[in-house]
Amino acid sequence: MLNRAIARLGAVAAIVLTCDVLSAQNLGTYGTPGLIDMPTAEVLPDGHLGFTASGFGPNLRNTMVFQMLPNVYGTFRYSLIDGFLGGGNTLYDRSFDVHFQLRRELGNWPAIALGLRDVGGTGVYAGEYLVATKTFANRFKVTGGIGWGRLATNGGIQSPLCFNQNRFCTRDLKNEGIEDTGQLDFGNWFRGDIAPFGGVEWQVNEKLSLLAEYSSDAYTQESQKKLIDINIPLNFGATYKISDATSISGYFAYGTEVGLQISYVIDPANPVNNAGLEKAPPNLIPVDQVALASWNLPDQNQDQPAVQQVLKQKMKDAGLILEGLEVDGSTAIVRLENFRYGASAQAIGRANRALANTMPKSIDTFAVVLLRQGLPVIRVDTKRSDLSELEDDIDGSWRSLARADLSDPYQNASQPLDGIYPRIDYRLSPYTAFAFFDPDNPLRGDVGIQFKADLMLRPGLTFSGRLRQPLAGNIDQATRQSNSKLPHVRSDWVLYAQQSDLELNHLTAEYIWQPRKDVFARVTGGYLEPMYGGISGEILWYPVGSRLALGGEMNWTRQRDFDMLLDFRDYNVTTGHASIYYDVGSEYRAQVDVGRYLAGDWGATFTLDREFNNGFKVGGFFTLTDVPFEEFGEGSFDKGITLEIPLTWFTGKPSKQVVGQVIRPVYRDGGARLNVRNRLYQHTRKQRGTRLASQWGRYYK
Amino acid sequence: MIRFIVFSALLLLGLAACSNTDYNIDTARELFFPNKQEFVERYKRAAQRGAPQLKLALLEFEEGSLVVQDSTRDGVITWITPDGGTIKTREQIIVGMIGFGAGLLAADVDDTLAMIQTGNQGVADRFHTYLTGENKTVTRTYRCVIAPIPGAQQIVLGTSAVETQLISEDCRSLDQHFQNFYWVMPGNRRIVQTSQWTGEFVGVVGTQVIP
Repeated sequence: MLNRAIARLGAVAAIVLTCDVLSAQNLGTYGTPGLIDMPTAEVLPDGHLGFTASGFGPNLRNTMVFQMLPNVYGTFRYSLIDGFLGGGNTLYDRSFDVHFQLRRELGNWPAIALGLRDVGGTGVYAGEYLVATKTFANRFKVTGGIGWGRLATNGGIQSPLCFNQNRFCTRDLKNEGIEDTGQLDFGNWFRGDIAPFGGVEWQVNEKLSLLAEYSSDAYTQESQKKLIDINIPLNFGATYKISDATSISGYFAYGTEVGLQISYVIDPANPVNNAGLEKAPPNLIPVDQVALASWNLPDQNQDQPAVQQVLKQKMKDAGLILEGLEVDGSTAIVRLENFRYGASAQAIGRANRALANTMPKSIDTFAVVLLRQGLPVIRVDTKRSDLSELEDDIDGSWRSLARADLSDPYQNASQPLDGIYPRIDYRLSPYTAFAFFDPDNPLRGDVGIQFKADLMLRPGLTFSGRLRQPLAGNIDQATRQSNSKLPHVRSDWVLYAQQSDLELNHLTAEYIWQPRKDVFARVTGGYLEPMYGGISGEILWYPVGSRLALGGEMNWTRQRDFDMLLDFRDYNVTTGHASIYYDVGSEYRAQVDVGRYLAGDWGATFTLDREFNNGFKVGGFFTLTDVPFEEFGEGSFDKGITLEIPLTWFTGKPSKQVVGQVIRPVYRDGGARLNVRNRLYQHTRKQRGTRLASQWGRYYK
Repeated sequence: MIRFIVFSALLLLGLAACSNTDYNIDTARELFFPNKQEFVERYKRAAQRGAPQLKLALLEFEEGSLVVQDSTRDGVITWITPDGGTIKTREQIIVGMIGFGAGLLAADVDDTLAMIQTGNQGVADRFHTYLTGENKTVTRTYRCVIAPIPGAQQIVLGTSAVETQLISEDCRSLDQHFQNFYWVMPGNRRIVQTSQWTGEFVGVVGTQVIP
């Protein structure tokens, strides 16, 4: 069938569209645009996300690189250096890089970039660079640069910044020890000797590139520990593109070592099947034919008017649950829960077409109130005449948004249709869970079966629970015990895995309502999350279409027993945060949460997410509290990376499901926040804020 | 062994995503049986009532199908594919597609249509609006040269060979170039067969009326 064919070939076609851009990139062993070990001044296309695994000698480097801005990329790297630590033990190292392209390649001028490797890690890869790259004859890219730190350990000379024995003359090259990792080592940046590096990439054809470089990295510590032989500072390599997203590389490094690498780069803005393969909605039929076509039928159920029955079925066919229907003069008001479409605008578009093909001619305005677990979040009023006038208009989406009236649904609550409440949704499904970066086994995981149920007694009032039964895996085989000096509010996660079997992840009663215009409130009580129970209350101010939202939250919690069933431990704490949410624009969203954390520490969490308009999200966060870095322990402070991908990004089929993972280099007790479900901003944002309008392109889809 | 059997049973149950809600079941089905083929009810109903049909081919995907007329409004005919996508035409010129990836969200082909129907040649402006993977609409403008290709073109419609006039539409924008072809009945100027470019993702679509 036609769209099955597209689904099969969609991935290839989508990638072909970006072929020209990606073909210009080579990722080095550090997983960033580069030659082999040395960086270049290039960047990835804006928004691209790359994953690499490379290995040579004792080194295995796994890197995620994200082009955050057109001229800035950041990386997170998890490396293993075999035998690096005393007793021949492996060093498991987490490091972050940042790279700023100061100038694009233009005319006769090369691209110029400044970068820092291993900021905030152990410092084993710490080095800075200033580099230039120039393309010749569209095939040769010549790179030259100077490095500091690790990038000046071969052929180092005195820095021109050094005179009169100033602070730029020396640099502390020793590693700082695991307790100090996570701190930014400002005092060493661009200090000490410098060394030149350079190389050339020859793009032989669209698939094959050959690489040669002169390295300024002497692998000093690895050589001293006899982990690697450095004969010559020259590296040679070749990169072959298996597809436009995937490359494999081979290296002959430092005259002795052979290396391999695989790289995978995607563009989150280009889902596998582009704009999607969903079934098309019914078209608008001429208004004079509506009654004939749909509702003017004999009543099958005398309790419900025929029009309501027909509309309910049409909404169901469209993936929407009709919870309310009223007619106010010439306006039909429907209350709908959207279970199918990630873009709320698409749900509104489909609902309006169902209304237009059902409601009598006397109705000239449709008001769609979108619900989230029974809570009205947004009301969109549309003129019936606009709907049909713009359906095939060249600029129909934008014009329909301009003519629609988006408003707060406060006091739009009405009696739900008969049979809607109480409602129970349940699901039995498999699950996976992961634990990262345990030095004994960097990737641990469980698979099991889970049962989730939601009982909604009335709009906004929900009883929820989730049970999990791990069936296979090795998370509970971790042996590392917490050495935290703080109350063990999170770092005992291993004990939770070890001492539990059947897990009660949460069992809550929750009420979400709108106490006044632009304000939402939530109260949740019970077993709030796997490690804590108690009561949580939250309030959010969030006007329709606003970039800004403000929230406050208070939680009275007690730590749960390690068996994750019904008992509690002795530790209890009151936490709370004041939060600012701001949609910065250009797909960026910032959040600051200030308050008290689970260990009783006070501080703030800073979050910056880049969420593509299709819902693909890459974000980062860090938390600074009054816990000193030394007391916090390894990592110095809490930080991490968030990755969320809508299921529809892979399948092209409409779905609200999202797969996601938070990656924390270290999971410790400082800056730890309660993980209560359905925080209000996340609960309402996709239907409420600028998001609704930005996805309006799908209105007529 | 018992643990393995329990695991397998529960996993299978889970893969079926046992749920009381249609949306969960639909999601699981799409995930685990993505190539399951089924004719949507809408297509079957239209076919059963004997609605007009159109031959449709996605040339770059080497796939083709009979599509059935679903509805008409204001001169726009909507055709439905067996798996629920729709393609909209105005006198056989494609003005919209849903369910084909990027496709055309809408197109303004008034100039092109007028020239073909009147038998004139010259320059026509054409506008395409695409929906991107970022859920944004992008409208592209093309300037097209419309000209007949000399000589009669014989094509087979159904079981009959018919003489047609072949008209080419050569369109350019700053960075895109494509060529459409229309086979037109000389008498009533009706378009009976086409080859039309619908965007970078889907590429060229062929259509042919069924007499």
